[in-house]
Amino acid sequence: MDRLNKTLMAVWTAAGFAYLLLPLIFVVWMSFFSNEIPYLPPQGYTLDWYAAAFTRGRFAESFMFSLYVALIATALGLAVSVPATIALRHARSRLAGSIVQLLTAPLIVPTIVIGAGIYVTLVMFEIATSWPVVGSLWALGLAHVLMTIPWCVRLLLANLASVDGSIEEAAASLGASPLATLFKVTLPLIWSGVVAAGLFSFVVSFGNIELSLFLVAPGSTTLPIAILQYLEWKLDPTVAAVSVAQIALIAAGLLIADRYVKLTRVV
Amino acid sequence: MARLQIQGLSKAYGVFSAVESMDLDVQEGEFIVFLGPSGCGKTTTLRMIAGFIEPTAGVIAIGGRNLTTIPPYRRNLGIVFQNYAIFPHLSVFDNVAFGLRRRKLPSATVEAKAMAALARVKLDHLRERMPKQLSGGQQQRVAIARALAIEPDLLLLDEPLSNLDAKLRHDVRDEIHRLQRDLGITTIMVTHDQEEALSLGDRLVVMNKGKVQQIGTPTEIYETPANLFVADFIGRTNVLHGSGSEGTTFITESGLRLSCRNLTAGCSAAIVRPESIQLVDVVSATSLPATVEQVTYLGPVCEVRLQLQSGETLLATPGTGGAPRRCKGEQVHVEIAPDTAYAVTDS
Repeated sequence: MDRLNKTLMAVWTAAGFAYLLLPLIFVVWMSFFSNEIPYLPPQGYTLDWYAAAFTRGRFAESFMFSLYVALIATALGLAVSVPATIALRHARSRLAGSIVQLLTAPLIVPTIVIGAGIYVTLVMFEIATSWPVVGSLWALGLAHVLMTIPWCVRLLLANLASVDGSIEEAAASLGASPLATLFKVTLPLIWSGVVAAGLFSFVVSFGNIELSLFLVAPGSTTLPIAILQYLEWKLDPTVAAVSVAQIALIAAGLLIADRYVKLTRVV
Repeated sequence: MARLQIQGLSKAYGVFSAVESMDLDVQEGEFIVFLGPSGCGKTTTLRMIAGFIEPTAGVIAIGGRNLTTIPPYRRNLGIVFQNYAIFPHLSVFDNVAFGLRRRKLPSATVEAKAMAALARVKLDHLRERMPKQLSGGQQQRVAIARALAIEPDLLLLDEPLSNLDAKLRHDVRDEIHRLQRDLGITTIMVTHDQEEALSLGDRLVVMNKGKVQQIGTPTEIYETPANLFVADFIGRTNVLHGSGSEGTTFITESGLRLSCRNLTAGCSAAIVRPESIQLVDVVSATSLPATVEQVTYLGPVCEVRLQLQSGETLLATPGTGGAPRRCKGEQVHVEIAPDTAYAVTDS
């Protein structure tokens, strides 16, 4: 009975992992095909598509653009969420509750609707001020903050729930000013949550299509949009190679973060 | 180590009054215990002294310095929290050194003082341990060392023993007692455990519904309670409500006449401690016939619930060493030791 259970467990786990990983494995595999039109079995293998990823289309440029957007969105998201959650977690007032609701609200609105809304707002702003904001790096970064804040707030509140209020009172009683308590006690205790929130924000922003769709402009396009545009014309393994680069970047981020905080404990 | 003075201290939340106009004068080196049921305001008072709650009215002064509006981090008080509130990300040593480092002391002084505090609670050999690797009792001792290391003017203990098991509770209680006496540090402890309060406190402050009921030594509180609440809350007590009195004789509702230690005029009830009630086999002029209703064996004593013929229910605690075991339904005679009853007012 016990053995049967173990076997069943192993089969189910393997099936689950296969379901999750097969598409990824195919993308990685496809990026080495030497034939331009993907079919099986491949004609042979080549690294040419990785070279093409740098030269063809605007992949390299949009990769960097996405990186900047994601860094801006992550940094601003944390800058808003960390102080907000630390301030709001003990508050019992209706106002505090409403603010938390407001900060997490973008999660329940379809992202494409938010994107369209921001686009219309930016156009009106442009008409009113004749300031070219549509398609600018900061406009995209600020728009992505709407997505990173809810993630950060959720993760940080969950993390802060494990920090007992009397720990901060103990610090105060020992002579730590509010600022010293924040930096010596509260932040170190939620550090893993901050790292996880930052990482999530980065991944969510870097991979986003729906919100960016309306807000990109020629010359300032994010990587997912660039891939989408490329796919409209061509289906060759260049896209696979670009995707592998994106996966590698995010995996590297996760691995580095995992060295400092056990992410499995936080997420 | 300093004198603590509290005058007219009150805290109201809207119409609810958590603490009402409290006055207390604590001498240097005194051990004061706030005692009362949950919600009586004892913790609120402690937190006002600590500076975590702003009083609605009143003054708190330590060593002549008015602290009422001073933030907690400038009060120089040592606090031991109910759940210890150890910093989980710092080692035992860093926990104890935390307060010393905030005082910008040279690192040699920090080291010396933190190690001295750890030695006091006999944890100097665990200085590099992380809190997770400590037992509950050890965490408790780290919390005490951390509070003492800063040489506070006042030590505040918030139900420090409630999270420990029975055996450990006794040990830690004795240790707190010893430390407090050795250091001569003015201490305030909050508890709802009367045994803890009686054994540790030089004086007890019994509170109920935000109001101080009585302030006195354990003997005073136990033997001459100020009112029915104090009498009933401290120790097991037989409360006999009454209708009249003559001098020191209290007459209960059923007409039972009790000779009291005090004058009974204006008193509505008399209390008789279970230990002053004896079960006797020989009938005398003062003995009362009764039926045993329930017997609970507690080791050193038995708890015997008796129904007097006059109708009252009494609790007696005869010793178990050599005394005959009573059983349910048995007819016995009860002798209330003369002048042990104490008449009290309602409030």
